[in-house]
Amino acid sequence: MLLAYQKPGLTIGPAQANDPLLVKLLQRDLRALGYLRGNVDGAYGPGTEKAVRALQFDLLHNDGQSSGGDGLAPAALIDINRDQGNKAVTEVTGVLDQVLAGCIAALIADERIPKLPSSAQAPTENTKALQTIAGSVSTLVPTPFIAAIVRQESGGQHYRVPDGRNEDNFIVVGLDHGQAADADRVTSRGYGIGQYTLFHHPPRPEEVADFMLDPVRNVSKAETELREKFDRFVVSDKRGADDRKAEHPLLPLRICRYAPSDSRYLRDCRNCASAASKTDIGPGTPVYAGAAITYQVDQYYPSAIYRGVPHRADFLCDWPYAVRRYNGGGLDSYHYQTRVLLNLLNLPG
Amino acid sequence: MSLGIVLDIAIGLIFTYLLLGMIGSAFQELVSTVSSLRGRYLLKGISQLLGANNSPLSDLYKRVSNHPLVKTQGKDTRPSYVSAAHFTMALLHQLGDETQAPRFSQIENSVARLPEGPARQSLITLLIDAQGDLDKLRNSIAKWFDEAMDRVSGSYKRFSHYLLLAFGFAAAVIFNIDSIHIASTLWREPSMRAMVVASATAYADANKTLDVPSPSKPQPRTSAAQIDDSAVKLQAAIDQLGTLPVPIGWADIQKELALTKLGDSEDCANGKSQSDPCRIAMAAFTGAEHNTGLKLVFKAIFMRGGSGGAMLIGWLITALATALGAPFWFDLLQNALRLRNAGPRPERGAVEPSSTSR
Repeated sequence: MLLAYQKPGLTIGPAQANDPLLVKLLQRDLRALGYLRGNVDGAYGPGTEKAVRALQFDLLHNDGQSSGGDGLAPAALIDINRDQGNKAVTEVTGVLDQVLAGCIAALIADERIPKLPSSAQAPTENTKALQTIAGSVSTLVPTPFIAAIVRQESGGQHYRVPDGRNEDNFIVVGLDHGQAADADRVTSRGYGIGQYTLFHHPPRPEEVADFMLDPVRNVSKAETELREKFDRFVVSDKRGADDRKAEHPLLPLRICRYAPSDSRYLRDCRNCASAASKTDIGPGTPVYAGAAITYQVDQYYPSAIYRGVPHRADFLCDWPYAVRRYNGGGLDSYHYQTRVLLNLLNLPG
Repeated sequence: MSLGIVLDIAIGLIFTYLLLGMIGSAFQELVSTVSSLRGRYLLKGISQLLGANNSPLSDLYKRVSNHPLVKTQGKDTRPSYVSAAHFTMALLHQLGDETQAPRFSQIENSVARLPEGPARQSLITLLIDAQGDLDKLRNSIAKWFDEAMDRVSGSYKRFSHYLLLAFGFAAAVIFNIDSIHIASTLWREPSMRAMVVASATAYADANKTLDVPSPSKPQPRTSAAQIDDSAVKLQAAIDQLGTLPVPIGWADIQKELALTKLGDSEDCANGKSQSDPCRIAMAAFTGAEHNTGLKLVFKAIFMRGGSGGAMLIGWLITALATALGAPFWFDLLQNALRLRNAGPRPERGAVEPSSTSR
């Protein structure tokens, strides 16, 4: 079956007049294949160009291996490209031509490659997911922290909500790109409300069925991961958190100030955040007392001004540190931590 | 032997020990105040918590003990009392940022930087137990301080006890307060017994409670007032003991020693024998030199045969009894007097007056 934009001689790209309907169809396919972060609006902007380049890069380089030890992709894009014979992609251009259109058609038709899910009832599904999180009782992690995390990760959305010209109703996806020369490579993708991350692409069908189609499963994956960060990356000689080391050099890992039998156990986090002293953060503020790095604006965080942030050292648990390690390390993780703590303070209810 | 006589003798001894104990307590308090003994023990306690003077922690000790909340203002810089709350505030202030309210994280970092030692270990244990909760940490530091002060107070009490014992023995020797001699004299002299019991009863009626300073309970007062107070109490107890009609003092022994060469010295001394040697000796005694000081004590012990040994034992009994402290004897005196009054009252006859007639 031919795609609508499979027309001899047709190209779609930046700096040219494009048929918005065809662009929209291309965006939909790029979205389903996991290359476009968002916006199905018919405008070929920088996001769409970036997605086209990322797909071209994968067709040339993605062998289906994982960079994060989470297993193989169901198919290697380089193989699919090679199968196109003399109609294979040979360079990264950022422009859709008929060679790339043929490849997309092959990918769409390939049953081994699952397509990212979308929802016709995105707002309803999202609300349901948030309510499930708010109502859930976990003995693994503090649910309010999870709620604050999903607001930071996905704005509390599992599916994008269509808005006017933008028809995007696919699962929320976050794309991490490589650095400098490798900028067209997507290194990892976070999926859904909890931004569960995969380091291989395309995803396997069972992964789609698991945490992509089911927001609750998605969150429970996030919970498991957060707990793992808490257990292994907060207090540890080698992998411990720098901020934790600086602020609580003596205390052992603290899961909650309340006993498991207490109804507030792993649930009273908003009150803990309220009780903590507040601090203002701006560009140049050290990420912790005596730290070499300071808060600065960067590509992911366009602002470094935060007011009334609950002081993480005042929490009587170590989840604020685990939250940062959930995101990773470095400056971005401090931005992330700060925003999650502010979200925690501002949780509804 | 009548139980009444024994009880009366006991009352006489108890009353003597009570007065001695009171003098001892007042003396003890005076010594403590003048030498800032309590302050010394207090600082010793804090230094035990934070590390002794020459330990690596002496800096923290110095800073805390010089903190205005701990150090007394004025001439005498040794505190006689520091509350656990003030100690805690001073310590947290020193460990935290001195310019603002202490933060747990700062305190934790300061403790982590402290040199190795028992104080660091203790503080780490308290920190870990507090889990980041500053209020909990405050409470446990206050408790830690209180427990250390209890230990200090224990050694202060022990010291006070020894001081009282030493005082008791010194007083027994200096004033010749020989328990055995007192008991045997009271046994022999019914009139003296009656007078002693009357004094004891009068005293007990006048003093329903005993007001002696307790070494364990700190009294936040100025030293000058404390010294005056102790001196007044000391004087009052000494006066009371001086007027007590029990045989204490060296006069009798001096007489006895002067007449010891005579065969019947006791009768002589008592004026029962009017023999010539007696009269000559008595004249010599009243007019001439008699033994004093250590010479007198020495002679009293070694030149009088068996009664010297008995005297030594009598002093020891006095000293040990004094060391039991005034409160003990006060309670015992009250009980003994109650027992005495509860005895049969023959003058009332067999018929008990009853308000409810049947």
